[in-house]
Amino acid sequence: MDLQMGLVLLLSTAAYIGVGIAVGVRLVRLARRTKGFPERMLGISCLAGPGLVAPCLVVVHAIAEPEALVRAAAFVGQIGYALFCSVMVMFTWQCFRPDEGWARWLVRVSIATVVFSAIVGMARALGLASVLELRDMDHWAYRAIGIASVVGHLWTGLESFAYYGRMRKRRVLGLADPVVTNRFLLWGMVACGALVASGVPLAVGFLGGDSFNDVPTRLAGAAATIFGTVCLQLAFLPPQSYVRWLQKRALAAA
Amino acid sequence: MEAADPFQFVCDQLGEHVKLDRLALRGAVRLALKSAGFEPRGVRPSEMAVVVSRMLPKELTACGVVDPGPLCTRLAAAVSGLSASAAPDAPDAVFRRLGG
Repeated sequence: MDLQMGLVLLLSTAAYIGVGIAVGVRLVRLARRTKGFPERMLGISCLAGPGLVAPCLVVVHAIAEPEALVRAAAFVGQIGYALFCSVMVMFTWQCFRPDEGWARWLVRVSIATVVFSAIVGMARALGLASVLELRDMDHWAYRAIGIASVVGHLWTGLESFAYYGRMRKRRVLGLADPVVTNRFLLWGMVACGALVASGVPLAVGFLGGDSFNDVPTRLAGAAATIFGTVCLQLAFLPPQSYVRWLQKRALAAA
Repeated sequence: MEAADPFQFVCDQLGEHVKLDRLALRGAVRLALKSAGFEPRGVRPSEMAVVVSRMLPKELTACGVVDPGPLCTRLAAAVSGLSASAAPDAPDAVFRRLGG
């Protein structure tokens, strides 16, 4: 991997971590004020994904010593990944389908899968696997969490885009705020970015490729991460200029 | 003022004034809601009032009702007077909150 590629990966990861933590902190603080379950779930997922999983992955893949640090990062990373996937599907369930039986079962199966796989991953981090083996993203336990993650992001994206379509119809009648309407679109795009970032390496792994060292795979992941990070920022921490632009555009269309 | 289901309220009121079978009436109201981006469950009275005045006349005309405009205007005024029930968080309310 050359220097330019390394820089792209570093920048995309740093942006993802920075924006994710900023959004996560804001949503958790909002949840403390409103006592709302969805904002708590979304806040925790932002803190767990970008705040825990990404830095731990960097440590596991970048260094081999000290071994205790790498094992600790792998251990904490598994907890973060399971937490991230669990709260993401809980957010989608509670926000879009709180009364649907199939959604409750999808959440249960998803959480059971990620918790079991994370326990296996934690056992490996504690000594069942060597430090270098901890980098193996094609291990079945890692793949199982990956599949749960892909399913969760796919579900989130579909629900968000479907609701965005409904909000657009409402907006024509003046019954929807343009900024809130746009937030559904952006959240769907965040899910698409996450879907590509987690789904492409998973697919490459299933096809027998080296998902971690394959350059196109890494570039696709980095591009999807940057795309998702920009959408996350615009959705939950938008600059005032973006909000004003949305409002102006809606006024012009009215 | 008691909280009522706006969808049910509109269907009941229409049934008293329009000679259409119950299924066709409910279907027309459902189609009006769908074309405005709503579902019967969870629609607020203020939103229902706009749907009734802006979208329902077209659906009723398609069902053969002659000049439904005045009726829909009266119905919109009546439904907007209903008090909103304490419904669980709709996605739009959640996403509005998430903006801070």
